[in-house]
Amino acid sequence: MTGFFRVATYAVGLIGLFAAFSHYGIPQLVPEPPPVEERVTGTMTTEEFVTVGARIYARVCVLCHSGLGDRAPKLDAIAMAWRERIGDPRYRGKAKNLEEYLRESMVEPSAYVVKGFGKPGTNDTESPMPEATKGALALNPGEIDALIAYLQSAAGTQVTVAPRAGLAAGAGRPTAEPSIGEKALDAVTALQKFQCNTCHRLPGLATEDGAQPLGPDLREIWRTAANRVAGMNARDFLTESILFPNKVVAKDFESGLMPEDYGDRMLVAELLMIVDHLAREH
Amino acid sequence: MRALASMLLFVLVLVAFEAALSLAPWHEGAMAAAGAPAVEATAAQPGAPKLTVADYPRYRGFNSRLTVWIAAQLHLFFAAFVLGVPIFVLVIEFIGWRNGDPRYDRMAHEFIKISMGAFSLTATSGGILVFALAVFYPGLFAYLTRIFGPVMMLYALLFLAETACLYAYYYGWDSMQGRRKPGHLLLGLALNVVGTLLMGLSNSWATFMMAPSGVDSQGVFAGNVWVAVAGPLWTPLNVHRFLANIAYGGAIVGAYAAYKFIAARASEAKAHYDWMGHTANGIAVVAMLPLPFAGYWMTKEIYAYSQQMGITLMGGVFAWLFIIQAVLIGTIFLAANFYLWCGMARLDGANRTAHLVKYIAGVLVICFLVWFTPHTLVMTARELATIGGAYHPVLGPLGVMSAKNTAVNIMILATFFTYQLFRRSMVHSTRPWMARASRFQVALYVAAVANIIWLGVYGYFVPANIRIGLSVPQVMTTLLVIIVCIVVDEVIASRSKRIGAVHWGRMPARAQYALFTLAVAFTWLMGLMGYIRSSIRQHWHVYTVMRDGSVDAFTPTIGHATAIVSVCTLLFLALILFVFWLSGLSRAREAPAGLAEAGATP
Ligand code: HEC
Ligand code: HEC
Ligand code: HEM
Repeated sequence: MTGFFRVATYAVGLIGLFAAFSHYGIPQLVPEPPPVEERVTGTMTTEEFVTVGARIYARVCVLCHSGLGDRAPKLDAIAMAWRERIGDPRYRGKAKNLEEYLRESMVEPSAYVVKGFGKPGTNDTESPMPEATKGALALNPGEIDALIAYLQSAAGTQVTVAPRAGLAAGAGRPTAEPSIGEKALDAVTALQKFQCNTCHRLPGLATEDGAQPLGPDLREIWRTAANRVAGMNARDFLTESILFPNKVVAKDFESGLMPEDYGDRMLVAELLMIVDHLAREH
Repeated sequence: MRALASMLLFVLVLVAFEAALSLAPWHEGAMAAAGAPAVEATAAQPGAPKLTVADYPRYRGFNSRLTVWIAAQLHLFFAAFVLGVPIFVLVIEFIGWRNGDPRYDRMAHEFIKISMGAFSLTATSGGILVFALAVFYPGLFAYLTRIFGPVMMLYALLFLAETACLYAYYYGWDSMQGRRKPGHLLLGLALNVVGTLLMGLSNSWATFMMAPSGVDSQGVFAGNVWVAVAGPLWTPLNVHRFLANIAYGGAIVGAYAAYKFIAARASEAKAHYDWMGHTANGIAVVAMLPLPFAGYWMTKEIYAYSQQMGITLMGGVFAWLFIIQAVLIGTIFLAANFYLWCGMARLDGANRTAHLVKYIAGVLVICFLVWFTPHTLVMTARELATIGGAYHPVLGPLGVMSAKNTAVNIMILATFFTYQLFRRSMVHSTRPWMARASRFQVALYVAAVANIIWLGVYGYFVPANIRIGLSVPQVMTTLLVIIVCIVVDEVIASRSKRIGAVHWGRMPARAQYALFTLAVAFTWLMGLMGYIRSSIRQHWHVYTVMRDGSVDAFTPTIGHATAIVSVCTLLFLALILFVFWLSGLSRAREAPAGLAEAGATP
């Protein structure tokens, strides 16, 4: 039996070593959360527009266009390079200016493949860059415009695209249905957007005095949320309360009052922000 | 009794499967019932559903992702084990049949007995997985069943066939001896063919989710299941898993033998389990040697399918996981070599070569360090700022693929060299041509290492796309050395006298811990790689086609992920211990006398 314990201890110790190395020997980066669609409105200033583009660029394009390794060409000199590109006999696109070239490079990457960067074995006729409006990237037209604005601005040339309102959402990205509306940018706006404050007192939102609210006061919920339901931590409990309000009904309150369709109306990002906000100490 | 329980379990699993399968037609039926004419229904056949948080049922006390993750991982562990073991059992049985040595037959029988116990746990964990997937991820499950419905049916049938073959193979072992042996071997072959098909089918679901084929960009299924099955990553994954399963099976039965060795009192039993452990270690090592190449091939195909996925894998946050992988594989290589070195104690004639061990160890460590050195590990600007630079000024160049390939190839050669030393220590070169042959082998090693290093250095002076091509001649060099040396050794061994005996059982206890290390590290590694494989899809259920809309769509930190891997490993090892214990209940026959002094070369 001692033999058994020795072996078991050894195995557990070894597993512990591997786990410890992965914890302490490796930087614990927090990976980017799943991307949410950037919304572009007609009222944005050019600066805001370029900022949106920069954000998308950092999230999506830097992976390849950082200049590291042999992944993809750097784009900082594109303001000079594009004329050469479209003058190249291998060029198969229709672009006449920088804006068109950038758009084409994103939407139809194989129209021109920078020398040495083609897919292996295709002799630089096929680009390994994914089409930006499809598949894993699935950017919407507004986002593409914003990227162009950013790339132009980063290359030090004039920004020739302006934010357009009412562009259709990109394919394959299920987040934004028309009825969902514009994504709230922070938790407080999200709470306002869904009018949680009509029934709740909320942290970070001024409270109107007067009538007793219909729902429980949520300003202090971070103190108790973790202990409300056995087996659920604070975040799980809050998520559950928002998505399925009638599953756990707060004491002294009626069930059936709080809308049950937030799951359909909220973006994941909004839900996460709200839950974070409510679970945080105030 | 146990057979009955397994049968019952199996029926349960089938029922679960049926229930799960019926989900899909049910969905479509509901849609057809809505009154659309048939033609329109096909035209409007929906693609992948767009799910929101509300489409994922949540159950109190269960984290959906963790539940499915753990269930899937445990199922993979067991499945890999029960598919890997019969492959080498068949080979060992065949060898025993050809050379007429009954010890092989007995060992093969004992190996398969261990995997019998694990078989029912494979079925159980599979049932739990299907159930968990259907309950927690109904949208994904329905979509996958809609496409793979027929394949899943076939899978269920093959599982039935696998069960039948395995039971016949195992319970027919004693009665199908002598003249009926060929029939038994054929049964074993059938078992392995069915098992491999089974693996291929289930792999296709995983590869479809990584690199979907047979559907359009909206996930609308074109109707040909075969196209969906044979996606761009299917074959490389099949090959990598086939090999890894054998190695994994070897590692686990090695731990079994090690445990029995430690527990055994009688010297016959010790000898038997020592031999068993040695064989298991050999199996794990031999199956492992081609794995790095299979792994690189798979990676190359991932890049070819999607450069974005490839870079995310090898150059993004996930790249850090490959540092952990390198540590694990390094552990495995060192443990296996350590075991082989300890094994020299069994030989009388090994003293001649014992002094080489420290050099081999040195070579292994150096190669390991090179391999372990990361090149670029940065994905986003944010990470760049966190880490403070992408290339290490001194080590950076070592992280290039050229250096890594060179290191891996030399590591493999060194491991093979150790193994060869062990075998050659048992024979005595009596004739002059044998000495010449040995010198030829040494020259071959020198030339091979020189060639591998030269190709590696040359890689720094050519563009990346040519550099990738250089790994092929490197691998060919390594394989050539291994094959030529095996042939030459066989010829020498068959024409010469054996010197000294192999004292099976003359093995220190710490060598057994090398076998435990192998089993633990392999299990953990597998859990890690399984995580990598499924997490490079990031926030997609089916890459580019079906987004994960659940609250768990985010990628966890490495610490969190590896903690789950550790939990899975612990669970698996606890369960497999239970299996060992069960198979110990039906008393293994003790090894016959005389093995302790036998001089066989396994
Ligand atoms: C998976 C890697 C990858 C990602 C992600 C990627 N690209 Fe590319 N991109 C490439 C490669 C490789 C090339 C060079 C081949 C070619 O010309 O098509 C390229 C070329 C380009 C070019 C033309 C460059 C030139 O010098 O002519 C532009 C512009 C561009 N990408 C913009 C973007 C933008 C904007 C994004 C983000 C939405 C992006 N790319 C995302 C790999 C990528
Ligand atoms: C129409 C009124 C109404 C609106 C609007 C409303 N709620 Fe509620 N909410 C209630 C009521 C009533 C309860 C108590 C009954 C229950 O638990 O279902 C409640 C309970 C909760 C609870 C659980 C509190 C506890 O202590 O158990 C949370 C968390 C919550 N709401 C968050 C929100 C958020 C976030 C929003 C906005 C997205 C929101 N609610 C919008 C009426 C509302
Ligand atoms: C000696 C070298 C290697 C060993 C011992 C090894 C071992 C393993 C094992 C045991 C598994 C689990 C197999 C299964 O689940 O059936 C695995 C899977 C995997 N390996 Fe390797 N591997 C090696 C090299 C590589 C390399 C070099 C790469 C790529 C760079 C790689 C990529 C993968 C991936 C992506 C998986 C996931 C497959 C899956 O489980 O679905 N491997 N490997």
